[in-house]
Amino acid sequence: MDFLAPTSWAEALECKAAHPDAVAIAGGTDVMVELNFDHRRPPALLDLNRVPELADWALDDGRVRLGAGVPYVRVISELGHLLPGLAMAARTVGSPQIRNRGTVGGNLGAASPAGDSHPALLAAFASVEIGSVRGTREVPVAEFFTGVKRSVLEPDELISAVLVTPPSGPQQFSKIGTRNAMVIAVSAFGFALHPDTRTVGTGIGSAAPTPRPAPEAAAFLAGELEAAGLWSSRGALPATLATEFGRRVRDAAAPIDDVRGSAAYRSHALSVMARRTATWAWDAYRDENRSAA
Amino acid sequence: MTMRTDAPLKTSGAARYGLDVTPPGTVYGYVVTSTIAHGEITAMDVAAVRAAPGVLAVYTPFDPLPLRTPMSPLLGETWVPLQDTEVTYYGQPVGFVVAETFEQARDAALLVEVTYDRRPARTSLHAGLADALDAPPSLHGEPPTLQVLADGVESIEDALAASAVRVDATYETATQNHAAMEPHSAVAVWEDGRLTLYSGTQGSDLQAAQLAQALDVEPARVRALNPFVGGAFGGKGHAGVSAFLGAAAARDLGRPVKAALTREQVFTATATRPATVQRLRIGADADGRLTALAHDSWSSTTATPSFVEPTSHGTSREWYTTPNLAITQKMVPLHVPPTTFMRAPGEAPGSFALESAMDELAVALGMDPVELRLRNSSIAPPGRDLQWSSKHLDECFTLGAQRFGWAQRHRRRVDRDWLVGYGTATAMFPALRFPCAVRITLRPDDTAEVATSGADPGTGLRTVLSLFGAEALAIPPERVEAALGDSTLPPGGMSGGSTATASVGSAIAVGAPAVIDALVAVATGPGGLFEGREVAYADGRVFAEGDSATFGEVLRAAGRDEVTAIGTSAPGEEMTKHSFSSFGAQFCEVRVHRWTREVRMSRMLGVFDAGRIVHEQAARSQIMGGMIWGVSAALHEGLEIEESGRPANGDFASYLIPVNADIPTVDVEFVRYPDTLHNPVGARGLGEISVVGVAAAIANAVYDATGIRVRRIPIVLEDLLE
Ligand SMILES: Cc1cc2nc3c(=O)[nH]c(=O)nc-3n(C[C@H](O)[C@H](O)[C@H](O)COP(=O)(O)OP(=O)(O)OC[C@H]3O[C@@H](n4cnc5c(N)ncnc54)[C@H](O)[C@@H]3O)c2cc1C
Repeated sequence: MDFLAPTSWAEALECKAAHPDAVAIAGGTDVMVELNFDHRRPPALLDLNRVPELADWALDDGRVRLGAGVPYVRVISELGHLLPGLAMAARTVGSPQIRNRGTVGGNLGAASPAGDSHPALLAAFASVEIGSVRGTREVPVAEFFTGVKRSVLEPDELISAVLVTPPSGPQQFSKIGTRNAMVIAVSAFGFALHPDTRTVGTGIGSAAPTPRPAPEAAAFLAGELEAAGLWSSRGALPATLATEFGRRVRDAAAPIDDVRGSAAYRSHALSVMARRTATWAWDAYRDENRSAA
Repeated sequence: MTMRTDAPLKTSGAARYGLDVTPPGTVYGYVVTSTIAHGEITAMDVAAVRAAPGVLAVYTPFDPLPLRTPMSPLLGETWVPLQDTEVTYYGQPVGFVVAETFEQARDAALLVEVTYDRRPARTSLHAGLADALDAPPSLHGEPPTLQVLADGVESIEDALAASAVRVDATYETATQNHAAMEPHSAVAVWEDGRLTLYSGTQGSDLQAAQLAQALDVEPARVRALNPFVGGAFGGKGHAGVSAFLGAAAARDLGRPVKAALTREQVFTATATRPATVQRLRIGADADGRLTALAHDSWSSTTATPSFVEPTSHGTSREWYTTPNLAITQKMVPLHVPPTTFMRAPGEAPGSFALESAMDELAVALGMDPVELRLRNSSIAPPGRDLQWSSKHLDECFTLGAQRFGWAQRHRRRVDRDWLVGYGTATAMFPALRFPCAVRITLRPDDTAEVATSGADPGTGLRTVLSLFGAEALAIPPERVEAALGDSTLPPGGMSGGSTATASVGSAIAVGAPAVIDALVAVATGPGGLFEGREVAYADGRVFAEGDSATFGEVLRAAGRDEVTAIGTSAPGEEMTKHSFSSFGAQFCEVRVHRWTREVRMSRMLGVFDAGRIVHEQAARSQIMGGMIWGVSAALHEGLEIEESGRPANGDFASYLIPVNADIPTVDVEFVRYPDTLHNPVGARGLGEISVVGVAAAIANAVYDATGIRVRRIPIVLEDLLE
């Protein structure tokens, strides 16, 4: 097996173009498991750890550009104020060792339906910045996943960054697991309020072949909030509305039975998580107003 | 309190385990396992394997390493791999590839092509219940079906029918793997027809004996070394495939062989705790006194029946006073990985059923579950004359209830999103000893050595040996070195059955006076420091009138390198006078999420009556570990075997055990009543008892919190959906 170790982004893209079957490795917390289990034997590994362009994040014109190689531990300690939903999700990943190595870029690359960063990114309307020697493109996270562990990445492409405009309102993330850490989600849900556009962001994890938003539920909630004038009045979120939102999120999922949980449980849990995260976020939105006043 | 002597070594990574040894010229073996659960291997194509880089040898049933089936009085037969073409479970070792490096061996092993003649596999315990077989006699030699009926009572059914309050429920427990941190492994070195084997085991002499038989060499030509063991829990009693194949291949190749199972292989190529189904029927009078107890058990076992989880005999046989008792033990042979003892075999899953049923009875009676247990505490196993030697279970319960705040349980408890519940259960585990020999040596530098072949798989035995030696010789523990984990040492201290402390303590109590006598003989004998004088030994010194010397001075003066004596002990007359057991009361608090139904243990306390507590820290650690294992059994752990016989979750990502974040407070307390009727040092076993009852206490707490009775462990989220 060849080991390619580019030291710049340009070189990395050239390597990938020359070796389209090389497997990129960032933190290696997915790749090494697959190699150990002999789930794949790539002809080459493309190590991205020496590529400085991937290793940092910056706030650029109101938009966070999160390098694909930034580990969770930094998302937690440095981005909690800008992207609290993503930071909450990052806190639930694996263990300290995994959070030291694992990256959001790798989470996207693995494209697991259970990836914990995905619901938060979906709810924040994030995009994936993808590069190749052919150029750079931006794909909304909602369009990034194409199937179980599959994405729109072409063989010569690499992820350079995640681009997110921090949602203008509160964000929440909720995950259910069979133990308190080191656990693959039974199901997860990300939620964000975007009061500037009067929209709602949603992200469903571990309850469909891919991470997916619940656009119909989101539009419903945003519309009802609008109709009731609640975006501006910041009145309480009616319990019936929250419950109906939860029901619609549940209907947007397509869960299966597996060793971690049954489809029925996942459906139930999603409706609860959606109702509760929406309520928490809305309460925080109302509090913002109070503290501002 | 002296620190555990192995703690600095283990916490700094300096402790060298079997697999850490790499003699010059070592080559590496990798086990090939079956991918079907039942059938015959008709061919194995290994041409590609032989051609792979670094490969030195490939062994298969068609080209085997000759091994004979070892037989030991304690363990019975031990299975040896590759001797025939029968496959009786998925993941059975069917080949062994040896190469220059581990990676080469593993890589080459993946190229083996196996052709099977498949046969239908029986893998479901449920499907097999209807034609279950009677299990072999119990440990006590009692038949699988046993009844004790009061005078004039015709049948257990009559006794149950006549009871004022009745409970009838069926419980299920999962297959479990020991999941020790150290995977089963071995390093085998032959020199001049002698084998040295470095391998984690529960008793090096047992392992050496099994290897000698398997390899057909004189026992004296096999030396097994296991100074440190990374967890065993019953899973390293029988010698394993790495040891057998590694040793045989090393002999064949004339090179040292290192072989270790991968974590995934550990789940099938070692052994597991059987799954069980248990039906409990309990009758009581209106005051909560038991009138009848029936416990019917089914255990999975291997296709050719081997170990059966003795859930009825391990619990209901002995725990409560009842005039009418009926127990049965059946087994269901399946094409599943081998079964063997695991921490509290019988008692752990048995107590889930019995102690859940007792809780159901308490609910039916409207009685405090603690009170129900106190009311039915036995003074002897039902139908047996021999009373418990020393039983302070009542004190465990009353002290525990007070310390835990049990009286608070009636308040309706909802803490924000969480429903809070309390549960309790009895724990018992028999107090046993095994035959044991310990050598005590006094040395000229005023240190002593206490040596036995057994193992310290994290139990603290190493420290206990030093402490007992120090006590018996009346010198500070720092001057007593413990030696164990070497089959050339006197046989004893096997880690199993929670026996080691009582066994070595008894042997040291015999050996210490003997070595002191030998010392005195040196001191007063010809050329001795106190030749011909009257002397006495105290505090590491020999006293003659007006004169004294340390034992080291005595030895130096006589030009002696050492004096030594071997103390031996075994269960004896005491067994005809009393019944012996350790006892405990488990308490726990759980939280069940009101909306999403996760269950989390939030607090637990165990109070134990295990005789004298020899080393507080080691004892607490043992108990804590076992209690946490009980949480695991209740909420996490279970090997799921698919219809094909393949484990669905044979790795640490999906075979769940608790992580630190799942375990908040574990409180341990002891009532300290040395049991000198059992053995001279007064210590009874306290390893295995710690897991007993915990799963029931948790399920009982879940009921208390939610009103939902879950009769199958591990409890899963779905069980609690309303
Ligand atoms: C013990 C353990 C616990 C875990 N717990 C969790 C958990 O709780 N939640 C969770 O979501 N995940 C968990 N994971 C999975 C894993 O840690 C995450 O998916 C992590 O985000 C992967 O990041 P990485 O940098 O390690 O990726 P890597 O393993 O390096 O790569 C993962 C995939 O992404 C591709 N890739 C990496 N970087 C790029 C790039 N720049 N461009 C294109 N493709 C790329 C790789 O080729 C590979 O296919 C766990 C893993 C382990 C071993």
